[in-house]
Amino acid sequence: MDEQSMIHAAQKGDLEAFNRLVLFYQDAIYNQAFRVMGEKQAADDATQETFISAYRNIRSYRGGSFKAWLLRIVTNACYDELRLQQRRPTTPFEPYNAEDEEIESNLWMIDPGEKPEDCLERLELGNAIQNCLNQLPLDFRTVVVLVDIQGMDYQEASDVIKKPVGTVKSRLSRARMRLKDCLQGFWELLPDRFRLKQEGI
Amino acid sequence: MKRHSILAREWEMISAYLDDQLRAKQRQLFEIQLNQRPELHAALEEIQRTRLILRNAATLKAPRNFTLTPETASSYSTFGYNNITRRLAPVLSFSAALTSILFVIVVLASIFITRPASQPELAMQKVVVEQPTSQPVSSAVAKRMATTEEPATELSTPYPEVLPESEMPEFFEPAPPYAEGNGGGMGGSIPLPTEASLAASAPPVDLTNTFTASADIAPDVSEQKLQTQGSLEATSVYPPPSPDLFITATPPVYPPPELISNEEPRSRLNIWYIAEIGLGILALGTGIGAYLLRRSVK
Repeated sequence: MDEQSMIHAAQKGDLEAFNRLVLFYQDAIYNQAFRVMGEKQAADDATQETFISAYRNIRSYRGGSFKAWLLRIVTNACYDELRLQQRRPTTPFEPYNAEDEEIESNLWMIDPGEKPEDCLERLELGNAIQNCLNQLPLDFRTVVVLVDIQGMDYQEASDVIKKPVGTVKSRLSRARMRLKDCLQGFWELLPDRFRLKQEGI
Repeated sequence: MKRHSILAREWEMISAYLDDQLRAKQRQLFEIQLNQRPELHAALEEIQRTRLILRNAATLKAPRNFTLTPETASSYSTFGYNNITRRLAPVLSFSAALTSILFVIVVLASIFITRPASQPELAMQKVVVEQPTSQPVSSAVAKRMATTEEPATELSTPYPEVLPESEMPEFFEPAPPYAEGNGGGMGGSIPLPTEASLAASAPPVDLTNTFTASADIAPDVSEQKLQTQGSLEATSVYPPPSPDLFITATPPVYPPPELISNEEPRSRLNIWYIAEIGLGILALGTGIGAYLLRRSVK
């Protein structure tokens, strides 16, 4: 069964057909949610909300890229949740050491069962990218994730955020400039392949 | 790199150039610029590296399957929409409580401020309204009878007593048509007919008739009867009429019934009713809404 057939079946209420679409797109949607939200639990909630909302509103889907349609839903869900979080800021949980002093580093949160090299890899690249993404304004972050992580072209990104292509171009350019400055602090931590490619440019 | 020598517009061109989003002409011009300006070329390299890092970022795998069960598909979500309902429910509850309190206040206020007249009060008001119909006969005439013993000629007018204009109640209209013909009514300008003319024109009154002031008035007042059996017997407070009192006139002219106000005095303003109904509906609506929202969130 191809994608269009599954969409038509889902529009008629076929939950099984819709679940096949979910399995196909859940990684992309979760990635988008995580990169925008920066938290796994929030990304999980946003992804779940996206698929529930998509199932309920699938009759309003009028063709085009189904992935872009889903990404628009998850982006809106992330926007809503982040706006709510801004209204009710939370105090991060800071543990205390044996001397009753506050532990400022978040390294204590790392799972001790994780392999050192995996942990290092995650810290080196994943954390570096995510830290830099988190520092971007939400609008810039959304666009750069859509284009550079989801691999969309400008027109598709424009459809998702419902802004003109010129806005996408401008936001992407500024986002890349800021990311470039941010990632410069992590150059030494980046895997070798990026350094080699850097030399090859 | 002389970063500040690169314009914002050129940063956009670099980004679009890397994404192959420039038109052929723009691309050609930009490549010429790249060859001529090393700082632009360096900027291009940095952006290209950043882009490469982002594109090679590990794709995260979803931590679980997000497939929907029939229950989750039909249930309310715990994200986004639910946050709205969660915030709306207490607002509606508060509104329901507030409107209910206002409703009670308005109802109490309408009861105590614009309290409707009691039954005896209403009866008294009607008596006051109808008093002029009996006053000319009972009080004024009997008073004169008791003091001056005026002859019956004065009472032999079609209407037992004609009040001066100053004492005349407001609702008495100037003579109705039939009174004009007979010279009756309360019109001050109409001359009093003589006994002879009345005897000729007016039919004789059935003296056995008993006129009752009004059936609606209070029992004690309704007992005031105008008895015309050769005498004018008002109430026990008046002296007995003289036997030579003869009324050969037409029946007394009562004010037109439409002028006698039978409606309840205005005890409540319409605004109170509107406020009560509006607040009642609002309280009920918000209460039901809050209940349904809370139930749906659960």
